[in-house]
Amino acid sequence: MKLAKFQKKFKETMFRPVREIQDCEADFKALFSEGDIPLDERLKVYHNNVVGSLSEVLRVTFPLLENLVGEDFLRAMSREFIFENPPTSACVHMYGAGFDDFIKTYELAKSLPYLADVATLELALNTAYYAPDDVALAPDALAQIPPETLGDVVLNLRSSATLIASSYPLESIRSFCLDADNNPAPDLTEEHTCRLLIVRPALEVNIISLPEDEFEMLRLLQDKVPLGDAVEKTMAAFPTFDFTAFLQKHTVLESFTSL
Amino acid sequence: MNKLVTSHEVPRAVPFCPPELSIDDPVGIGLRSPHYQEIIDQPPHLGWLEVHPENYFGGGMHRHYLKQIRQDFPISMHGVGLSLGSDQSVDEEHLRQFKELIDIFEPFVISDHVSWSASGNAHLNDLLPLPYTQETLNRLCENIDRTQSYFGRKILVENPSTYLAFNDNEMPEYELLNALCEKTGCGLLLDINNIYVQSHNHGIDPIEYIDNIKPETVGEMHLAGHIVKNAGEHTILIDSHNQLVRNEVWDLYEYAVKRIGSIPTLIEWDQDFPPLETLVEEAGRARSIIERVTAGKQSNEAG
Repeated sequence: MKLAKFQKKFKETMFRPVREIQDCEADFKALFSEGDIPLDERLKVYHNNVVGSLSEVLRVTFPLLENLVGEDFLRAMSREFIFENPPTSACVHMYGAGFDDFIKTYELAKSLPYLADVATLELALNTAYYAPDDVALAPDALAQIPPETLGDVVLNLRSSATLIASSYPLESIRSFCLDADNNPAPDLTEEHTCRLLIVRPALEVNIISLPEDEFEMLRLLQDKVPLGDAVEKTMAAFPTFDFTAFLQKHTVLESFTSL
Repeated sequence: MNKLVTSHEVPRAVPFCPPELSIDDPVGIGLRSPHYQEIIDQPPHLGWLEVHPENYFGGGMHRHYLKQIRQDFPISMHGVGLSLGSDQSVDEEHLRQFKELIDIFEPFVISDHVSWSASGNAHLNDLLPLPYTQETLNRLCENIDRTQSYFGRKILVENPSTYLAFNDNEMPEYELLNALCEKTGCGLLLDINNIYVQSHNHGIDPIEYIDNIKPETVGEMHLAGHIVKNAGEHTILIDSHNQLVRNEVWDLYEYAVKRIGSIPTLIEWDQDFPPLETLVEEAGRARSIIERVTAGKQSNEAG
């Protein structure tokens, strides 16, 4: 068997339930000499390494999910996700993109509708944690630009930044998961829209709760809308939007990348 | 009586290491995040530290700590993601990110494995076994050549622990390793625990394995713990990196040092981390073996 075909078949054997190992095709099994130890046992060592290590990666990235559903439930859900969505990069600490969308379709999680949004939050935290270290916009950077061209400037969010809007109180869910003794149980019966900016200015990742107008403005900037147009659109939707205060606040928070 | 040779007197010509990055003490440990702060606060008695470059792709806290630690220690970069044995080219983006780290941190040696992890777009996050055939040899050589020309440096490749044996092997493992060195100019990272694991799992003779390795090709050695797993009526050894190095492996290491020489040696530990002190003690045990063997050789030469 050619190397590429062997590797493809091996991969397929790894990304399906361990009980199916015995059902490997005969031409695949014929590649290996069994010796004293049965082939199934040998393949199970690899299955355990591959699926076990990737489940562990997800467990580390999604501690809030583990807290909410327990380790066994998370592992079972992770296995299904891994089989359908193997990592595409060797940089596995970034693995897990799409886990939130997967959870929306996972039958056993249907009774926990907030779970997917919690996963979105944890993905954003992980992305921020490992994002490239870019430089924040200097406080006087915009003052250097001639006023007549200021409106054309495209202000970029930090490479670590993610904006999240959710119908669930993600911040209180997180606080409760991290420290149930000192935080109230979140009220999940009613909708509490939350709008968050996740960003890492230096080493620590910040979760910043945003009013609706700021969220809209940042969303436009994230879509590369030039500053002038973004302010205009935000003010059209939120007439009380105060751009000067917004700029000052997010310069201090280091939400923007240098020009 | 011969004075015991201290680490500073052990011959320092490290193969595959650019002279300006040369190290003073041949033993190191794997650098893992639970030990960052302790290593910064009280730099332990170690010659160097090894990192998996993949953990430092992107940015953030890990790089921040590594920059601090690099001020006190030489480092080596031991890749786990190049997937040199995949029947496809090494991933360009992976090479780019790896090279970025080489430029920043100036590792004294760079290595990855004789194994594969990627098939098509999927990355399996494990060091998977290869049939030892001409086809595999050619593919490994292409990928090693590509990596070395991208980095502008020679790399070391590590012998694997495997749990499967192929019927159509055309050569023993050591022969494949020797051919890789000969054809690409790469060196070997000889993992002594992996040789021990292979000898148990595949019934090969570890001494014959080591005797067939060309000493001048070895640029680094690894030591790690393994576990014994029951498989039916037999046992299989798993290269688990979560234990002390076993006595049988220390013996094999001493044999390798006698035969191959004083080579930079690393204690690997990747899960169920012990206190830093335990790792430093294990490294000390490797250092004392190197010193003992070196002293023995000098006394033989003097006699």
